[in-house]
Amino acid sequence: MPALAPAFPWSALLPSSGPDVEEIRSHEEPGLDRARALDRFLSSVEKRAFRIARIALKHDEDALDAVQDAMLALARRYGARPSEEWRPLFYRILQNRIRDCQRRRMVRERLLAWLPTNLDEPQQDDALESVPDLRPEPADRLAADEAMRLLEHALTALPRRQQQAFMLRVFEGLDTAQTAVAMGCTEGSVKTHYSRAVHALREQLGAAW
Amino acid sequence: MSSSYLETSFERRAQALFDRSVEQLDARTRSRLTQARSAAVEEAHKHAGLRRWVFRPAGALAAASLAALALVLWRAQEPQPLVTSADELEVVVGAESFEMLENVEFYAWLDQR
Repeated sequence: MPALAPAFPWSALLPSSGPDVEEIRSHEEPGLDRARALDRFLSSVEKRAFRIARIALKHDEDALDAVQDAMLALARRYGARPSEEWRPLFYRILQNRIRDCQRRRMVRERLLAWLPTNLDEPQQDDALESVPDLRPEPADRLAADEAMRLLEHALTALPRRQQQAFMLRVFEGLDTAQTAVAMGCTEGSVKTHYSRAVHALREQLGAAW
Repeated sequence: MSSSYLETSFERRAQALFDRSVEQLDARTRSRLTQARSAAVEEAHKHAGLRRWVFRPAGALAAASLAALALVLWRAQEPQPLVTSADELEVVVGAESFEMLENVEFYAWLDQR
């Protein structure tokens, strides 16, 4: 019986059981950390994003849909990108969703123009919400509510790009570069739209605002 | 939110009023936003798992290639018998093939004969 040649030391190629288990865990933890980071980020922007969408769309449900779509799209397409890119990307997606909704609405309005419906009627989702609150309000709270109402009204009258630039810079706090990413334009365009927005709003609201 | 980057009192006032309106959001809207966020985070987690599953076969191929390279290098360190026939030459030349890997012990025994 011929002696067998020494076997190839396959075991040298295999990792030991301890590090192998740790290696698997270390692959899973970055995914969990990323999910947590995404949760923290979305939690930090969701309410402001809803308010911005609500001002643009003048409709609660449409605004909620736009924000929800933007969250899902960010998670699916950009969840693996560095987290510092998320904010401008999220608002870019949100602006696209808002624009899509506005276009669908325009088409719908043209198609249904012959029906006696008014799409600008105030919403009444909840019967309780329509009951007036007769408690006396502090004067400063009333004044602030009125000031915000006037600002919203003036914003909805702005051209779309000026409205976007103002809300992203002032309400969300994006800098010029981030706003350019969110709006899909140059920083120079952002400055122009923003400057015109501020001028138009100050004119409409007046010195007393 | 900090307003230090805003230049005029008009802009700062607009921001303050907006922040106040955000804090006044009703419970129903907040709840809907929380649900939307949870769905998005779940989606991100699913996609991260899918990326790991897609790249696992590529990792196995890399491991197999490494094993083949290690085999070649290990064989190079052992004293090699002279090639005495065309069949043996074909085996030596084709050392990187996976068929070679499957029959490595047989070929090692063959060398000793």
